[in-house]
Amino acid sequence: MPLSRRTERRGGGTAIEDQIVRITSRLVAPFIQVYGIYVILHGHLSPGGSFSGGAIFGASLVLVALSFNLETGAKQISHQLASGLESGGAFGFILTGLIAIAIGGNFLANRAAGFPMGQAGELFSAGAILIITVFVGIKVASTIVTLFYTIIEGEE
Amino acid sequence: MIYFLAVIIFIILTLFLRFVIGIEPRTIVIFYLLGLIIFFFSFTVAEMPAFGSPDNPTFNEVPQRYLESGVSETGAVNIVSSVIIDYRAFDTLGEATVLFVAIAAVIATIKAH
Amino acid sequence: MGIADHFPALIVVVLFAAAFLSPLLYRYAEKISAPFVIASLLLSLLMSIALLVQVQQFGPVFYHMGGWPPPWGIEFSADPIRVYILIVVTAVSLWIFLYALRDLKHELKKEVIGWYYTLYSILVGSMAGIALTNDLFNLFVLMEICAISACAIISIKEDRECLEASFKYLILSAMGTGCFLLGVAMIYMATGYLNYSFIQAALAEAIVHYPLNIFTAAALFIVAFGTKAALFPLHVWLPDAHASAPTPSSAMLSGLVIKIYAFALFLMFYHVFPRGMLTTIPLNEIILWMAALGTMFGSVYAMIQTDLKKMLAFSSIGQISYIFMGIGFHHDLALVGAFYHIMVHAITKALLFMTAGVIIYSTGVRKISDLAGIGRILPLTMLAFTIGSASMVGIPGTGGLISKWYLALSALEIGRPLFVLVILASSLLNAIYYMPIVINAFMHQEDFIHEVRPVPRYMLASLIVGMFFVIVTGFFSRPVVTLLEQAAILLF
Repeated sequence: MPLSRRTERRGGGTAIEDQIVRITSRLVAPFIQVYGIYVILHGHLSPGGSFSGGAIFGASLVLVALSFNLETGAKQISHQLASGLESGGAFGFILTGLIAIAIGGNFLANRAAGFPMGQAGELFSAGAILIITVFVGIKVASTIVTLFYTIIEGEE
Repeated sequence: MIYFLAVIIFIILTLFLRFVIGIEPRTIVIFYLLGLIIFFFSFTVAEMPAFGSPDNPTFNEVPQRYLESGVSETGAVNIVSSVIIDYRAFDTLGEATVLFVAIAAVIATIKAH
Repeated sequence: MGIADHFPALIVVVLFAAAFLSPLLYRYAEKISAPFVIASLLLSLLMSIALLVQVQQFGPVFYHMGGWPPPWGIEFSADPIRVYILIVVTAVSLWIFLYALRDLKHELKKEVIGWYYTLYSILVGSMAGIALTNDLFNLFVLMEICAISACAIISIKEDRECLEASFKYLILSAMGTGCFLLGVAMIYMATGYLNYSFIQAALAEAIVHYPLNIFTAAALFIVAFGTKAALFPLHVWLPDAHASAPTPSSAMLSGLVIKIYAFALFLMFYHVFPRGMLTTIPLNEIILWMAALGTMFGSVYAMIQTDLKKMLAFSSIGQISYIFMGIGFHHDLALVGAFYHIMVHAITKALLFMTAGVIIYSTGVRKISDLAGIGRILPLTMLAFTIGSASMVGIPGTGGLISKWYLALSALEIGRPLFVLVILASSLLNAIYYMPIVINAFMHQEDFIHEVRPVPRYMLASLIVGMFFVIVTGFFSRPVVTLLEQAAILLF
């Protein structure tokens, strides 16, 4: 098998079939994903947070889809799932706010509503902040993937 | 005297732009209008409080409370997080919605065409 | 705390939640997705009405997001005027949505209808937020949401013209948002606050130290809201955008979206800038003259249009100028007139766009000259058009008269009879371009030549609802006017 070749795709565009790119990206992708998750989960402890972490995680999925092809990318996360997660992430944010109302605070309250605060500086602390960060992280990551799929599929 | 000089320079500049460089009259008008706006804005900028000075109106009780009791009130060590996801969480909900609606707009437009 | 205390937040959140869920619902349970959006719109309407009752009984309501008090957190405030705007927004958008259910089926591709529901409820949610929020940066965020979703409900139609119009709208509206953000930054720099009430208190002192910054911010606000609300020289995006959009979007954009920005400008003038500022520098005069030119030029442009929807769009430029005029008079009766006009024009213009939509659906005709004799084929539709145009002109018995009456009255009270002439002249101009259509439709001798499809009952029902409300606002204006008068007095 040659190291690199270009194949004609349905829409007339070309997909890169490059062993170096494929192997490297396959190796690097899990590390990028772990780093993305780290940045999201440590949003309340260190610089970064949901938006940057989500963007990092989403970029790794786009990297895989770019260096292989759409079908392989879709095995990691399908278009349907991505747009489902997007709605889910945004709805989760609202749900966290509504839970705060249900347990006796104002909309989006944190300490006032009685979310468990934990020890400041530890991973599982800061109550609603961590929950919201995770939801927004999921939302941003899936937004990037959805945008990528939509534009790629729109071209075909 | 200075006004006289300014007018002369203005006329020479206009003639230069129009006939030597060959810019369209319309573009020259836009150019001067933008210059006028920059001229007025520069006074506004000159009047702004000094950057980072402790007497600035922005250093009031708002950032003070964020900095002093942010950790104890929100539990987040990262002050930025405590502001964007706790004190002003509704703005972040808005920003997340901006992202969502932008994607929805792109998908809707691409699917429709 | 009961659930009723959380209504200010829930009104916005319910609509956002509906928007987030409706793409999923449309994919997996298509049947319930439209009723779901209707339910959320209805729920927010009911909550707005409950909020009005609450505000009437116990005075203004302040809601602190996350429990953080104002200078630190975001505050929503509900006073009678804001809740009134809120009810207009939610009620009119519910009515337009009911019309849209049937209309969208032939205007949009099937797979984008679910996304239309999403964009629609986000648009309504952001407008409700703009009416309620008491925080400048939050207003900016909501304006962003409103601008993007308003562009998207134009470009969603499969039509090159829509894409171009929507792109033009997007660029100009982004410019407006940018100006607004720059203004907010200047205000924050000079005062250190983002909450309206705190800014108003702090500006009295800050204006001594940073007068230029605050005047620049005021100028930027006028440009920002003027662009977004299509105040006369900044209106260039409106005709294309409103004319090419799908009918429910046109009704929504012309009826509500431009009004909400005019309302935001009112909030800036009366809740953000200190009271003395409007009298010391001629902000009001600028608005007033731009509006006076707008009423004239909007009508003159509308007169020379050949396309029905384009004519209605130009007419909106003239009508929004009445609202700006009401803000510019700086008088309580004028504000009553302006706010009454927000409601009347929202209902009337939505009704007129709906009739245009029905005509296009049924006959495919868009040209005004081809409408001759259509009154005998589509009598109910043209009756709705007649009543709508009567309200635009301000004929007694319709809501349009009441608002113009109050505007003219306040122009006389502050001693500027020239503007009474402007109002009269523009009403006359309105009559010149609306009435020939009506007369031609009913009186034309020859028969209507185009093919006619039967109009669905659903669409006709929406038209009847609209006609009913145009007449109700004309005859039973007292309760609303009393509410507005009481609220407007407090501002001076």
